[in-house]
Amino acid sequence: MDIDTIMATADPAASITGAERAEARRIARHSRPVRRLRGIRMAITGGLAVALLGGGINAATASSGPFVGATGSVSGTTTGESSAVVADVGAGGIGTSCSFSVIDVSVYEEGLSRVISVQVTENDDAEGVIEYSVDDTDGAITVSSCKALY
Amino acid sequence: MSLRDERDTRVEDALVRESGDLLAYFRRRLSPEDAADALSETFASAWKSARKMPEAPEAARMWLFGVARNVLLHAQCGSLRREALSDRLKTLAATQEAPADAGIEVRDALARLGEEHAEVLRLVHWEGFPLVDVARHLGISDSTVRSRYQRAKEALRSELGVLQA
Repeated sequence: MDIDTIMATADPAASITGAERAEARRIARHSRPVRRLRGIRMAITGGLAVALLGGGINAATASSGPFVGATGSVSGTTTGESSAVVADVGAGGIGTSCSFSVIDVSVYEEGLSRVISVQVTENDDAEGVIEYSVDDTDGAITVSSCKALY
Repeated sequence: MSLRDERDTRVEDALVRESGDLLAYFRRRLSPEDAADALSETFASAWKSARKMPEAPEAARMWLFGVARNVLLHAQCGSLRREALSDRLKTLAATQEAPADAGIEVRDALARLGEEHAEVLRLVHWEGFPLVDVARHLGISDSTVRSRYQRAKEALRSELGVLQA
């Protein structure tokens, strides 16, 4: 018996069904990140951050960077290519006013949730990342981190 | 269509095209449940590095298997994420009846060969890689792969001969 034949008899993947291959293709299609939103500007005044879109709203406090103590919030929808996510990073902790542009939003799988990473910038020299997850069972949004970075 | 859209379409096409072979790659090396998670994680990793994916389909295929290999190395460290996207695939795998396993002696023999030799045989005969691609995938020279492959074949025959004696 040649090696090809020997190895073919032992291939664990020989039992993969058509349904499993179809499911693998479905996973591949759904793995594509939601498109980025660019150039969305929002005004933030000191104090509580305000969500600009309806839908789930949640907040977190910046844990690092120059805006430690600032409040952040996220709102929007996360379905399909037309997803809209707006991130607000308030300056409540430091009592200043500032504005940010969302420069990039990406969505990817993280455990049982989708994580939306939002990058914002202020005057090209500040950058922040808000991460929140959407519970696939009830759609609840939870902010896991809110960081302003240089 | 923007350049970014074109790239994303190319990446998605490659993922869909290679999804079955990537699933097989993981099923040959992991449990069905871990294989489903590893597949999903491979897609996520590929999107994160989408800029690096080569344009040519065959080069993109080899690049994806490189991503898969890195995911596999992490999986073997026990750090696979639990992926919600792959739940249905895990269910499909779990509901399958276990096939009559005629190949268990061969897989046992492969396990005794040592990972370096066994992996070359898997890549050539299960993944269908030419030796030059095996070398690239493993990051070793063509001549090393050729000699390793020869030794692996001889060792497998020897192991099976011992079993059949």
